Amino acid sequence: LTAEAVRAVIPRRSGRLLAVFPRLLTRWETTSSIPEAGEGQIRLTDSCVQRLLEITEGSEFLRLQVEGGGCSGFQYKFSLDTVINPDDRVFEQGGARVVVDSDSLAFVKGAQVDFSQELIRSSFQVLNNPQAQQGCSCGSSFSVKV
Amino acid sequence: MSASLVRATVWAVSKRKLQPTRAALTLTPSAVNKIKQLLKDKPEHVGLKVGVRTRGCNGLSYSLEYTKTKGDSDEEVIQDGVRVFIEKKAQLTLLGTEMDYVEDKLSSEFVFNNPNIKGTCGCGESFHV
Repeated sequence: LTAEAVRAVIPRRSGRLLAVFPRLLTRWETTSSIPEAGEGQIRLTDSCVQRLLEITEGSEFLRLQVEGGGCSGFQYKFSLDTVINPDDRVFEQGGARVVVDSDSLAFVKGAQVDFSQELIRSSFQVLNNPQAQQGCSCGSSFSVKV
Repeated sequence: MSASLVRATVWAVSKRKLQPTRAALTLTPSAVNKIKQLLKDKPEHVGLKVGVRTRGCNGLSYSLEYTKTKGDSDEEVIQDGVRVFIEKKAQLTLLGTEMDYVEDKLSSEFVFNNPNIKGTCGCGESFHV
């Protein structure tokens, strides 16, 4: 049984996301009248921009989603996409684009997207997320400040 | 009585036979190729070293680093011309493991397919035995 198979078998706790989300949405709506400053943005590090320029083709961009799951309750999910939906927010830097849907944005606004390269793994990461209270040490999963 | 003795003896022998033939660590071709590529630009390093540390939500997590020498208690695996050293602490949990290298556009990583693992955290990085 590979680690990947184990990952596939572990059920997503989307119920928990649904249970928590309405409250967070309410809070976000309350503060939406405040003009969006840097706090509402997502920043891309240089290595993230560079990597995205390398791997994207045509109108492709990096999509960041937050979904229920992982050992701390929520986790980041990255994918390549070409379709921008009405509720998406586009963050562009140096020609590279990261797109986040409005639901996920509530969980990551103010954070940084990085591409980290270590000997054992190279991957996109979310760093310095002010919405995250704590995460597991591999950085994929986090719990939310309330 | 004598029949039962014979059976017990055979069992022990066959058990002992099985143990040494179980490789400490095997590498997939893609892992071998990646390690060769990594070491190509680092002639002073003889190989990679696998360690294990207490980290992550499920207790243990593997680490990987370049190494110039074989440590006193390291176990050495040589396969297709590449060397991987295993730290003493990692040896028990790694026994029988296959080391793979998986790559796609978004990420690339070494993966340990470990038959000894009883559970991993959701993202698969940390595990317990």
